[in-house]
Amino acid sequence: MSQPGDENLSCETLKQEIEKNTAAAEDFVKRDQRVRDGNVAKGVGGAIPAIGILLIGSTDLSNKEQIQGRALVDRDERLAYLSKQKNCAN
Amino acid sequence: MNARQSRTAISAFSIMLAASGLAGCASAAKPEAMIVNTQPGAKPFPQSFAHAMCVRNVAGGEKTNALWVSKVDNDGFRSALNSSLGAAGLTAASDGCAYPIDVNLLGLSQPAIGFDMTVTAHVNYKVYDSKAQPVLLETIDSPFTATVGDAFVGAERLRLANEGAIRTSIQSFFDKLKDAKPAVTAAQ
Repeated sequence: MSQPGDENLSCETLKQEIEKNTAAAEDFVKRDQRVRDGNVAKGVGGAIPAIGILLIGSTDLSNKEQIQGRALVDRDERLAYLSKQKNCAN
Repeated sequence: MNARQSRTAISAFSIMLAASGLAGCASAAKPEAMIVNTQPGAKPFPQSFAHAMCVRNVAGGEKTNALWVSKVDNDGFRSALNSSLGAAGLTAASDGCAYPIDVNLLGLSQPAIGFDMTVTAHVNYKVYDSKAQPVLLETIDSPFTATVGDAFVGAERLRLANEGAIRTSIQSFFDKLKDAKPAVTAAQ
């Protein structure tokens, strides 16, 4: 969430990065929801004899999209704090 | 395949299911299993953290659905972190918290099935001083593996892996705290 050199970012760079992160986080949230929906379907399909175990085994519990999305939201919080410290106009 | 062979095959399949993670009800991570006990003689924390910290916010945890997989919820994590802070002598009196801690559980990366189950906890820790200046901002990724030797039933093994991953995360957070350099003026 905090990266070396963040304190040296200009107001314009901070604004651009926050906007970019916000858009990316929204995309991750949508992708995470698709993965969750897919997992529910696989869970239901798990009751099917023979192929059920394959469906369960292919369930994606990595939470990759959720973790990346939430990390970007936390980073935006940090960048917004720096932006405020620098008295940047929104 | 005769009836006896069928029964043997079903039994073998059931054992494999139990071992690989598809059998049993999921239960939430236990707070007491996620507590870090500070070892005597370990590197000390900065003096200004002593009896000056508290857990302000914990977010991102998930309730466990017994029909799905074990998770770590906010209350469980808060309880474990509070107890760990207490064991390390860092917990502040109710009105003396100079260094509030905010935690965001980004998520747990879990396996769907497996014999050795490795869970990685991804947690953001934010520590502020009394002037709301950040003292420590860290994202910690902490893996932990639970084996069949730890628990035969997959659902229980996954819970143990979750608990181990959070325990490792709190330990790593403490290690980062020991290296932090809080401003002296922040101490109450």
